[in-house]
Amino acid sequence: MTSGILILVLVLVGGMLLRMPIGFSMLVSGIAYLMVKRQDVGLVAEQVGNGLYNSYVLLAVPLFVFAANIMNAGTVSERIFDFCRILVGRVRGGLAQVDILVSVVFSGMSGSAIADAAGPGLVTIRQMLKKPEYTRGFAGAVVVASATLGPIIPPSIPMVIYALVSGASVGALFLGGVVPGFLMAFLMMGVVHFIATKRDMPREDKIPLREWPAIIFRGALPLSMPIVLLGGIYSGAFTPTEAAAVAAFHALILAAVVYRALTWRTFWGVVLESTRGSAVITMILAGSFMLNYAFTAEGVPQAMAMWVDSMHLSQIKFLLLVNVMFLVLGCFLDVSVLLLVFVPMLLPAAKLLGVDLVHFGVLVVLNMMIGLIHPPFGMLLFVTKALTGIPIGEMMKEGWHFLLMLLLLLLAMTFFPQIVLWLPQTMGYGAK
Amino acid sequence: MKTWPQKAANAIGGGLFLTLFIVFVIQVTARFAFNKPMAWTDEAAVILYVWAILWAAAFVVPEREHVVFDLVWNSVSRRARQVMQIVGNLMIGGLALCGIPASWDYVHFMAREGTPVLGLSFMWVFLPFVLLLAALVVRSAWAIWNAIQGVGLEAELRI
Repeated sequence: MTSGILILVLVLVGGMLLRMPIGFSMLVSGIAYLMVKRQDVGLVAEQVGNGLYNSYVLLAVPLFVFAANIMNAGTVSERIFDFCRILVGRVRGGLAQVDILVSVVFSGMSGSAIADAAGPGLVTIRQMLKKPEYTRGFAGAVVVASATLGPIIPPSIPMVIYALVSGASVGALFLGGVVPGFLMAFLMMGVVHFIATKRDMPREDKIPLREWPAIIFRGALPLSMPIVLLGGIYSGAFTPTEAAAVAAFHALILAAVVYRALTWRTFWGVVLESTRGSAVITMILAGSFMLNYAFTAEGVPQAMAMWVDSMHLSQIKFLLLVNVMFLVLGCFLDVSVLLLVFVPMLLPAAKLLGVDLVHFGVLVVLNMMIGLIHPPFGMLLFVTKALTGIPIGEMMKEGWHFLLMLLLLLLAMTFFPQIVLWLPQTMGYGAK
Repeated sequence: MKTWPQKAANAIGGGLFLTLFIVFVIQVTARFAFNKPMAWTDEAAVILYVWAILWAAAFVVPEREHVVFDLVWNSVSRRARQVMQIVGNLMIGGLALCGIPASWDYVHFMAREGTPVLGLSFMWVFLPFVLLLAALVVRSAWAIWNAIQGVGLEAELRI
């Protein structure tokens, strides 16, 4: 390890431990590295400036953030909620089932788990808390678990970032998330059904038939979006970035014109919130440009690849190792750091072992989602606690069923790449 | 109550973001509705993106909204948090200060090159990065001042 890398790691880890923003710590650790190496410090401006300027696909991130925020401000979640209540409200634990279905629909338009918890999640938690049969912990756990569908079912912000880091196709990654996403939803509904039957949870009241057409009409409008998005991206009609803009525009029309639920004031609030949210994500990204420059100059990813190679791991063992690493690191680090710092280090090794990059990407994103829901660094738990006041301990007590289920699914996807790859391959991915 | 410089910074940041969105709407409309793809929209969008993000990071996002690792912060004494805040900000602000001259040199040097379609000098594209570093210096100094005064040292659960 050279002195340059040493100082870089010192500044980075030091800054993080001192509770400095992680993105800024990454950025200045790059400056420290360049100073110690006696290289031109202006490289930091070049790396960050060009990194942002040349990453056209990244523009999808602020636009997806914007789309999700508009939907949440514009009562789109409430409309989907009513619609899903007709579909699954009549079974036991109806509200919990409705929550999962709402998340599926919402995920088809948003690519962020946090937005899912803050929007539709909050709507259903409020309904569940009105009924004594649903404990606080259970309501929180269902919402936290179902929010992880957001980035698995396309579109997906983490997948866009992964595509940038790895060079894999965004379209193929999105398609790769479809089957695992529906499997997740299906299994979650199974878990809810099991618990609901055991605890004798209530069914929802019947909704009078004459109210159905209006509810279905308003709820079906958002449903058209995923089809337009995926179809558009995969047929090549528009780029993922343009798709993100279309999603935001669609949400805006729904919220402002169709539902008339958006005032100028709330709209401006949404714009500011999206600007800030995008800047926070992108600062970590900007820091990682600098960090990855230093790592590449020092040959870290190659060394990592050689090291993995020297262990003579099979593909499966390598993927299992990555899963374990993510679980452990996810206890200490934000998932965005894992995606932007650790994944680039692992990619050469993955390529060397012949791991399919789309398969790897979907596994990485599912790993990230699991990282979001287990303590002590589970961002989704924090968000849900902040929004509802439900203690994290209570959510965890009820949430382990879902955590276990997700871990089992992760294992299944590790051993059977076809779960991920079947749909993209059927649509022509990887055809020679 | 927000001060007027903060309101102005927000207005610029939000304005850049909104313009970015509108440019995309124009691009998609031009291509699909009028079948006339425009060359300038892609480039304008990227430039607006660089500006919106760096501007917001420098002047709009409050410190508490950034992604931080706060397990240590939440488990030590107030006195220790004061030291952490001062040392950390000295490091961030100091290194950012060290980065400003060379970054400005690079950005200034890029004045000779223009973007392919709009012909805007790259100096203007990359300028906000220097602004961000300068903002980091000022914000760190401000945070150190507050820490000395004993302000903003509460342990809290991050949202």
